[in-house]
Amino acid sequence: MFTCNDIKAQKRNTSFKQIQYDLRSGIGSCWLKYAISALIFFIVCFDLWKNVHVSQMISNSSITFADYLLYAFKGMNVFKPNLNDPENSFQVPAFWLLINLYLAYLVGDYPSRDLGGYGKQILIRSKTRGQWWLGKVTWNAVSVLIYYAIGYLVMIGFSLATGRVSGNPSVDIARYFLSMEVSGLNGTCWIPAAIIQPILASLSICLIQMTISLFMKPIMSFAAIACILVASAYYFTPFLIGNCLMIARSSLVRPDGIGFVFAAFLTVLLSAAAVVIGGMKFQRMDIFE
Amino acid sequence: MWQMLKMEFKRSFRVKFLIALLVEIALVVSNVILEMLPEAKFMGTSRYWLKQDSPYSAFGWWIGGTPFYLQQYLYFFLMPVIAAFPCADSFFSDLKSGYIKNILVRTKKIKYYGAKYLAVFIVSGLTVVIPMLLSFGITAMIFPTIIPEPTLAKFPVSVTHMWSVLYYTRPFLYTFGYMAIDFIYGGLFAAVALTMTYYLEYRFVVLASPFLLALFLNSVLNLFNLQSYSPLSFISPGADCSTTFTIVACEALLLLLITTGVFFGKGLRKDTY
Repeated sequence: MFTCNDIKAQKRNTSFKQIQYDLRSGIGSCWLKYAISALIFFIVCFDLWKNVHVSQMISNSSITFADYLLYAFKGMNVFKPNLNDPENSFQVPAFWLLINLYLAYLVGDYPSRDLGGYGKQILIRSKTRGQWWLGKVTWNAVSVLIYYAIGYLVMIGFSLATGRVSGNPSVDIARYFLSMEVSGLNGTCWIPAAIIQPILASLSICLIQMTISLFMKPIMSFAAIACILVASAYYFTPFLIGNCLMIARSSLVRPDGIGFVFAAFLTVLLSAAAVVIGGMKFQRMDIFE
Repeated sequence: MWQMLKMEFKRSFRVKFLIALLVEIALVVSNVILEMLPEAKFMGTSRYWLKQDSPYSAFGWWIGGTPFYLQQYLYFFLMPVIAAFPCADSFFSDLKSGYIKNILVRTKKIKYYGAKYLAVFIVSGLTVVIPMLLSFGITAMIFPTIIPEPTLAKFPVSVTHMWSVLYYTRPFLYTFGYMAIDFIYGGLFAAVALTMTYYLEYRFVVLASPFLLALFLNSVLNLFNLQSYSPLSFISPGADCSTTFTIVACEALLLLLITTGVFFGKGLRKDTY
């Protein structure tokens, strides 16, 4: 006969096993996709290094880790359409899009793939839908963290090889190659907005994408995220979450920019909403459809 | 072959085709409502002539005619995904479900593969072009089809742009010529997904493959300042991209050769059973 404590312990055990399974099959078996993400960050770092090298205005050795970081997550300045100036066309930075859309691709289809395959057997045997959803949420969060960790490692490696690992961005590099004024950014004041904010925003976007994929096909949820990112580049409002992914639109470099505290509050709120809505939808979903 | 083709078309023109069209038409209609109509209501008024020194032209306002608006950017940016969405995964479904085995006992391989490639190419091309035609039609009902004037410097097509002479002399030819290019590229994007079916395990990855390849190629070409070679840059008629017809044609030919070569080569050699 099982006691209440035994049942609780068993549930904890199955939750742990579910998470373990999700991490193994959702990340462990897709190592090649994560290896490609290293290549993407390498390309971004190489681009800044090449630009500095070609310009010959600044010494290559002055590029720091902070410069690579700002370059990768800068995004774009606020866009103002002007019909009388055809030169001022709307162009989203290619590297910023690649970094963010590749992450959307990484987390794009695992839940639906799992549900259409082996995961269905696990779901039937574990007899709880909540655990399955919790496993996917955990997998999603870990995927985002790994992706960013790979990015930071590549940037640290690149700055070790080409410049120096410093948390202080170079004023000249920021001015000429990023069109940003960073003279006030010293020490660790920029870390929350430049490191934590993009991670929180990406996590939020990935959870939203996973929730949308419960309502429609994964490819459509991927396209929806692409739309949100492009719309964020077009409209400067924190409610388009992609704005929180751009350092160029944060209060670090703009007086009217998005503050870290507000961005953190908003992203946590959106993530929580995505988890709750997704969980509710999944409770009522026909998994045999 | 004709019967096969007819069947493939029948399978392709289904709900997913309509969904893709609806998404694109939504972009076109929102472009009309949010961008065109607010400007159009001032046409002929004193405010219009204070702001403008020349009348608006439909060639500079339709979804492919301007590089300023979100809808225009999204339309061409998402083109590889939207083009692949209606039927580029049908070959994937045929392989996974075993449907292909039932077909190939009744017909020759070349007929099946030929019909599949052609149907996917045409349906994807149409998915891209139909909303463009609709957009141009609506725009021509709102703004006059005045020939763009290069001296005003208000049109996005610069001297270095492909077919710039055509744009400022025979804009209809330029517009429909560009639509033909987009039809071909829409078909080719879907053909890339079709070909990737052999190498990829999951439907999502198959459908996302043309978009990811285009995005990756765009970034790598950006790295070497070769944006004019990126399909994501030159598929938009109004984008600020200095490309040439040779580049566009050579890339299309290369994609056609690779996709047909792999799709037919692998398909005809591979044992289906």
